[in-house]
Amino acid sequence: MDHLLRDIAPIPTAAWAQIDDEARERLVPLLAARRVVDWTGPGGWEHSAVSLGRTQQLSGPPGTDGGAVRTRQRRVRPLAEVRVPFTVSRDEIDNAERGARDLEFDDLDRAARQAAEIENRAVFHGWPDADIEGIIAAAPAPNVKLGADTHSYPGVVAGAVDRLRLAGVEGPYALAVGPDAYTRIIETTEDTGYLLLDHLTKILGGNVVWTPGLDSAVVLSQRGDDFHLNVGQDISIGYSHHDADTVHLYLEESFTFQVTEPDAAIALTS
Amino acid sequence: MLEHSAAEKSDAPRLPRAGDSGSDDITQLILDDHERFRRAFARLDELQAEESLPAADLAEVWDPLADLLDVHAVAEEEIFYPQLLRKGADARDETLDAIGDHNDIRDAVHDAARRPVGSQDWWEAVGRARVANDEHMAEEEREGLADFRQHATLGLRESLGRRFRQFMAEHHDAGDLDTSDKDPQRYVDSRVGPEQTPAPTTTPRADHSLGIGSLKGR
Repeated sequence: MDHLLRDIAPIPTAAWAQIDDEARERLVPLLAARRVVDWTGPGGWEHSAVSLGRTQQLSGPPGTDGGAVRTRQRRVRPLAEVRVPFTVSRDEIDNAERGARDLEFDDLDRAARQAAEIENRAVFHGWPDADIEGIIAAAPAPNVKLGADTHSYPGVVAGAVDRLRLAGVEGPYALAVGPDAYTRIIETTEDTGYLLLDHLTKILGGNVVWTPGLDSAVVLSQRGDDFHLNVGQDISIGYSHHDADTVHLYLEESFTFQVTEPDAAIALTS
Repeated sequence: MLEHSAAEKSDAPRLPRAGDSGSDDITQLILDDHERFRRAFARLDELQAEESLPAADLAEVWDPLADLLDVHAVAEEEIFYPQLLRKGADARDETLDAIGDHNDIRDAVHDAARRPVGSQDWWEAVGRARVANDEHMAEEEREGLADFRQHATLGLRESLGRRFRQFMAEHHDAGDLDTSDKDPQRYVDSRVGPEQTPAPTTTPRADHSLGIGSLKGR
């Protein structure tokens, strides 16, 4: 039995399948960071840290004479654990056993949004307590504003792509953008009849990615090996406890994130 | 027999284009072009039936038809099929078929351009273009266009139609367009990403994770 304790939950196999399917369907569109950064894993729940390939100086044990002795300590980045609780009605679990295909999983949907936003925000905005520096903080700060005027978007994005090219960062490129700006983009048809979304996609050579949890926007290279999401346990559903009416479950994941080439992204302010 | 040349082609009359139509719906504009193709090939039938067959008369019909076949295919690939891939219900297979058909049409059109007009080889190449185009039009009308009408809003179809008309008006011949063959799979993948293996409907995975993993490029 693993730590998720799924085997002792009062949930039959058919209902587990529906819960997992619902979670997967909700999470895939929301996990926007995974669409634009490299993903490594899963290393499993026991995977605790990622080697940074670096060391820091270390004093010798007290009472020892250092002399010519050189002591160093390996540096690692520990994985952060994320656990987002949610509940499922036991009546709905019973309905799954009866063959119902339209089960109500409202709280699971809420938890999926929350878990995805945590991962997205950690990747783009960083997570200091988890020792994660996000793409925006790591990227050069050219103070480029995306703003709310969609007429300027092609010029702003083309300028960011040019900066990346001039820095020797090859494409294709993607634009990760928060929900508000994404809505503005897909609503806009340019004066020429061209869809703004298509125009931006042509400039980038890659996708415009709807990114819940991102407050602004980022143009970043998709050539690979610049941004690494290192996952221990990929998102899973575990069992906590239950009462007469409700089963308490949780979404759980362990990960860390590292920017290896800060110049491979341009942050655009909102 | 008459050999094609760039100068002769540039002076050749052209068929009416989608830009001349009053409709803005891209599916209607594509149908309009299909009708032009059918009429031009029918005109070639009439010329072929004549005993005296001046090559210049054939070129007067074929050159603008060849241009329109080339430009129409590129316009569809630039404007229509990327949107069909986003909106259509069975768009991936429809687009793979269409790009393959476009390649067959292009190959035959370009083969004809290398043959003396009116020669047996030229007629054979024109015949191949016609067969490939007839098959493509029938399939496109039955599948891609029908799919797009059912799943794309009229506003989008009209927006694309305006782009389509502008494209056709700007390109009277294919001289400044890339009319080389396209790999259908690469064309589709470059616009919507590689086809994903469907996620399992149950969770037999030993680690009990949801198995989402990397989504890069999706």
